Amino acid sequence: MTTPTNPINPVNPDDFSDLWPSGDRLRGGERSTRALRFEADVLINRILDAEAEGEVLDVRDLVRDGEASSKGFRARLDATRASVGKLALLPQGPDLTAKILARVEASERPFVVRPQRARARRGRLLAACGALAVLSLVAVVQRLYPDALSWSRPQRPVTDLVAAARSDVSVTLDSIQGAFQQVGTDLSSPVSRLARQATRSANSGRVAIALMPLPSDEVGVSAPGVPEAAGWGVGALTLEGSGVYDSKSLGSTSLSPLGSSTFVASDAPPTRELRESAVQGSGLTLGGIAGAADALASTQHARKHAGTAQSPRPLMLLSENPLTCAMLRIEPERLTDEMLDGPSSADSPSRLLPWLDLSRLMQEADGKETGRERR
Amino acid sequence: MSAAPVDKASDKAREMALITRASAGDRTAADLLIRQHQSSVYGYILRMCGRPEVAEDVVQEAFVRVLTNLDRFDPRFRFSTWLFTIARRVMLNTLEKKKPSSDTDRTESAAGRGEAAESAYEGGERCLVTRDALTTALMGLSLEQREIILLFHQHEWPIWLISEHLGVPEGTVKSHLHRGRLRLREILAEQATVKGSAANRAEEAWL
Repeated sequence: MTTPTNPINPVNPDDFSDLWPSGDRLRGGERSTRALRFEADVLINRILDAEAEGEVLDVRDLVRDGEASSKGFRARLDATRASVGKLALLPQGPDLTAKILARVEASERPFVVRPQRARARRGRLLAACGALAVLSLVAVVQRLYPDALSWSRPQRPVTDLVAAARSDVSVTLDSIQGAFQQVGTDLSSPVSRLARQATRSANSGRVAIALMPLPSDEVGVSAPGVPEAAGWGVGALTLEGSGVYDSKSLGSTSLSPLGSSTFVASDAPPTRELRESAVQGSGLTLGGIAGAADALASTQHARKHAGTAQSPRPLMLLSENPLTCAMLRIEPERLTDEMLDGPSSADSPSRLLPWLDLSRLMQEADGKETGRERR
Repeated sequence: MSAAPVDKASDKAREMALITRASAGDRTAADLLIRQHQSSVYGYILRMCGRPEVAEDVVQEAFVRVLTNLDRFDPRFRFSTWLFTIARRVMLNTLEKKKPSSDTDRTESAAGRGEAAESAYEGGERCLVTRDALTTALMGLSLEQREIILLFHQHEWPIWLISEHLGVPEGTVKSHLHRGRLRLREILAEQATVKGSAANRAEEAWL
């Protein structure tokens, strides 16, 4: 019985019966097929090794020996050669170049030599340490001196307003409208309501602007003031006899508009000198004022936060004819630097309403509050 | 007679220049370096593990590691040896991670491979079938035999280099090589016999 032959391994073990040359490895001189195969394979391995090492002469000799010893040796050798020879053909693979380069690019510092990479790493570490140190320092300073560092941009509504007024009237109107909308009121509301609204909203810390139409000289004005602290003063003005005023529409006859349709805004701190010069220069009656306050704080609120970053900033809108202009007929060309920067001279006291003597108003307000409490 | 060593020396010098350029950040040099070696690494890994998707992942990972550590390359050695060493390590790690957790997984995986090979055969792509048969036959060898056979016959590495690469004595390498060769021949012969029998059965059924 013979082993079935096939194209890859066309070897019949019986062909190796005469392969054993010396016969000294098998007892009794009979060579088994297994032994013959083994010896043939040893020879084949030697031939393939010699081929790989380029020893052509050795290969030739070995093949000759093998062929001489067995007629099936050559076929067995060829089968082995064929099986390992297939390995020389590399399998086709996909081109991975782009993917590899993309991954390398995405990785940290591609193609950068180690010292440079180390330097970059050190640099990053130093930057992180620096940032941490700065943050720690800021935290400590803020803890020790809360006022020294303020992260929030100081609110300067009037400054913005003035700047906007210089460039474009409509912007000014929008700004004012926006401010009023923030307070929850609108431009056409009666003045006292505006003032009350503003006062109420001040307690919640919102920006509030109260506009008051210019009253006649007969109308007295009082302002619940707040104590001065660090050169600040803030006041919300209310008109005395506002009931009369309230009952009137914007064209109230009890008011005597000056015929001017300008307004002046200033957010400069009402220093004592400024106020004094203003009062002396104008000989004020406290009429004719439209007042506004950024966060028209109640006395209590202002006292509590006096001198801190939360202290209300003064904001006053002064108008000479607010009823008629009602912020709707502003003539920007009349917004002179002098008006915007405050009363620089006593020449035009009637046009530039100075800062109020808030301390006096405060005393008046305190007196009223005390009386109310007593009642 | 002296032309071959000169060629080898110039090849090595060229390769070294490429490595230096790639190490300095030259993308083109890196591109060339990949193109020169990716096919041999892919062939080595594919025939080692028998799974194309694993081979692709391993080749990518190996090249990424090599290219990001080019400054570590020791020019006394061959670049391909270094690359193959890294690829081999990546492959072993990957196979360890992807090892089926249960016998069911293993069976399903094997079944999937069988289907793929069969469909390739039915498609009449003779070359692919041959490769599949060869890969299947290689899987019948032990890992050591397979690796040594591949390095010796596919990549023509000398015995001493394989010995260094695998960290085993040359005698052990030779022993694995000799056994592996004969085993490979036997497996291929068995495959051919089975295929021949199947063809005969089909012919008989037809008649």
